[in-house]
Amino acid sequence: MPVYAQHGYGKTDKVELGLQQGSLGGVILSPRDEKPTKLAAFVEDLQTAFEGVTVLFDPQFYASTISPVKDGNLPEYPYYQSVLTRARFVSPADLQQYVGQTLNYEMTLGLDRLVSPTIMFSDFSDPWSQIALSLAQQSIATHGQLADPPPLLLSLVMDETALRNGDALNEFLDIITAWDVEGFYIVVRRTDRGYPAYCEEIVLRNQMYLAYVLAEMNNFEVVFGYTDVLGVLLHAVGVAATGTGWHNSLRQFSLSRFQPSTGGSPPRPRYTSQTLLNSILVVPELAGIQTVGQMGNVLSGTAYDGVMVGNPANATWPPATSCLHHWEVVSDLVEDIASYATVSEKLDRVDELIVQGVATYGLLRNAGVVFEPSTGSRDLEVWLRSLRAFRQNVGL
Amino acid sequence: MKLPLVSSDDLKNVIPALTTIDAPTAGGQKLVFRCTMGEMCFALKVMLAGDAVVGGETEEDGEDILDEVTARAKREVAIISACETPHVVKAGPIPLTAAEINGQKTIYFSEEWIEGRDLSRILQDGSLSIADVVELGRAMTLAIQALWEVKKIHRDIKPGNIMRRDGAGHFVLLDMGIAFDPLDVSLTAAGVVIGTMIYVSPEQVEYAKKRQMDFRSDCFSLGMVMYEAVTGRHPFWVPGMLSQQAVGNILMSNPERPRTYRPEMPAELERIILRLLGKQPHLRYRTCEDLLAALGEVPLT
Repeated sequence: MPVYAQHGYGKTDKVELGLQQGSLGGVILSPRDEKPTKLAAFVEDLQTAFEGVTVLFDPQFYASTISPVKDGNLPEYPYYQSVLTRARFVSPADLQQYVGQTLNYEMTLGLDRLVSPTIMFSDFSDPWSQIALSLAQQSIATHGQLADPPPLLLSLVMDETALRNGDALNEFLDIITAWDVEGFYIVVRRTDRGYPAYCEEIVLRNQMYLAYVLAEMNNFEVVFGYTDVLGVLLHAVGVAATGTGWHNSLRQFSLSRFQPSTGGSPPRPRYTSQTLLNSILVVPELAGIQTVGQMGNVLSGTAYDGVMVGNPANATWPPATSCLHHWEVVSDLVEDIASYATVSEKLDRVDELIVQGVATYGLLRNAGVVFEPSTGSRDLEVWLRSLRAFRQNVGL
Repeated sequence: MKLPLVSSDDLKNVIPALTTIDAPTAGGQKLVFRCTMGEMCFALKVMLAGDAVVGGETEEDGEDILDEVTARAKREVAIISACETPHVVKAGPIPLTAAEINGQKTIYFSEEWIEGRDLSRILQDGSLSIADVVELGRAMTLAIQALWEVKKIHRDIKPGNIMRRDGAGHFVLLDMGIAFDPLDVSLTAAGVVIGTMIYVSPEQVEYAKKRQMDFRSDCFSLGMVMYEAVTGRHPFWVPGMLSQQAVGNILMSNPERPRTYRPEMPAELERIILRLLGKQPHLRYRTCEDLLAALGEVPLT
């Protein structure tokens, strides 16, 4: 199953349950959120209990350049250094050291993929993107010198604003598609801190293009982290896997995950609807849908959401259940898309699902249900325009 | 660039070991003589050496100071000696040598003589069969692959530089004279487009991208050659059009689908050709192996 748990703080036994129920095929580990000894034990436990599970380790080296940083357990990992300024990435010997220490540490975990260290960039032509390219090239070189290493995924962490520039993206792709490597682990940082984050049409279109060129055209193994339901669009264009976690901050990547907290209220319970392709608020949105007698149009029918059939406002819906339900919905959607043979057919299907979602939102609004902007159909409309513009661009 | 004034008799005087020397043909900056030495038949290429010094290759570096023609010839000989595929012309028995002939500073070297016709002449008789187009694609991909294994790009893949051997019918890539090494010292002035204008790739035209060029540039040129071989038409140029206009089309326009002109051609082959003609290298094939695999799936019946 090509949906991975995006690991973070407070994992309890959710990952194991997600693997058991078949919604997950793997996990992307976050060293920030686990002590080294516990993380190593967790890897071993997963590999023992779940044959064929994919365990990726995101070294989160990019946190090294954030100041002030909330890096949790990262300083306990031998490869991590903080705070690194741009001057610390000039010397090839330094790059060699960062990469060598990171990959050597990952080798001790017995993983079936290594993930290279990287830093975050905001533009394909800024100095940080050149450093990211240098780190990637150094990673290929270092990986080539390791004894019997697992295949290497090069990690790239970019701000979504970088994806506004299609010409720069093209040049970047010309460079990275020439590399001899197994694949890429990509994270796109969202600037909107709301959940779900608003994503501009051009950004999503170019993100689809990035995924399509790497995965479908050039046969790289591509894993996108922190994708949430939006990952369905990326699966349609060929990516191998996407990651989504339990907290909102593990479903979309924002810098705030690595910055000191400014406080805030606990997240409100949400329900992920397969039809609406969104995680709506249990109260008042799902409760409102129940009031107008439209639950049949939005329930996903997972092993968990039977409790919602009555009054959602009174249902027992703890975060762990909400998370397992979310993974099952995303997994079902991805499985649905995967059942179509060609990219064109997969995109047809996603188009159909989005149109269906928009129509359902319309029906619910007409019945008097009120949605917040982020949980309404705004995003689906952007997805649809992005998808259709992408298809026109690549002639699919 | 002038051609050297050298006759067969002059050559016989310079290289007495030659058994027979045919009258030369002129090709670009060089005279090409068909020669034999005992049973061995080969082509001897003779050209005028220049005076200009190529930057970067100095006596301090432990290298000879070379003029551009000699530097290119040296590179060409090194490439054909290094490539181990029957689809790249092979080096002959006479190495790169400088000699004064008739008061002219010349250089010469040899490569295998290929009995056959070049693709530009073959295409004058009409387009190729589908099987031959696939074989052409396969052979040239193997040639591009062999070149890239020594980190070289041909930069001038065109019908006139592809020979088809008589007998076995193998296609062979000729003329490595302007091959490019992205890591080596440039033999070309900034802003000069090298290669036959109507067969250049988009990145050959854009100077800023030249150092990033790789084998995928040759793949674009191969796409144009295959398009022409299957349809009888160049994808971006028609007779009478200025070459600048063709370059503009290479950069900005998409060609007609090949099946417009050859409806019976397999869709798989059309897809390969159109993919090779992708404006950005990342839209073509990531490896020559991938391209060979795709060619292997084209139905030939």
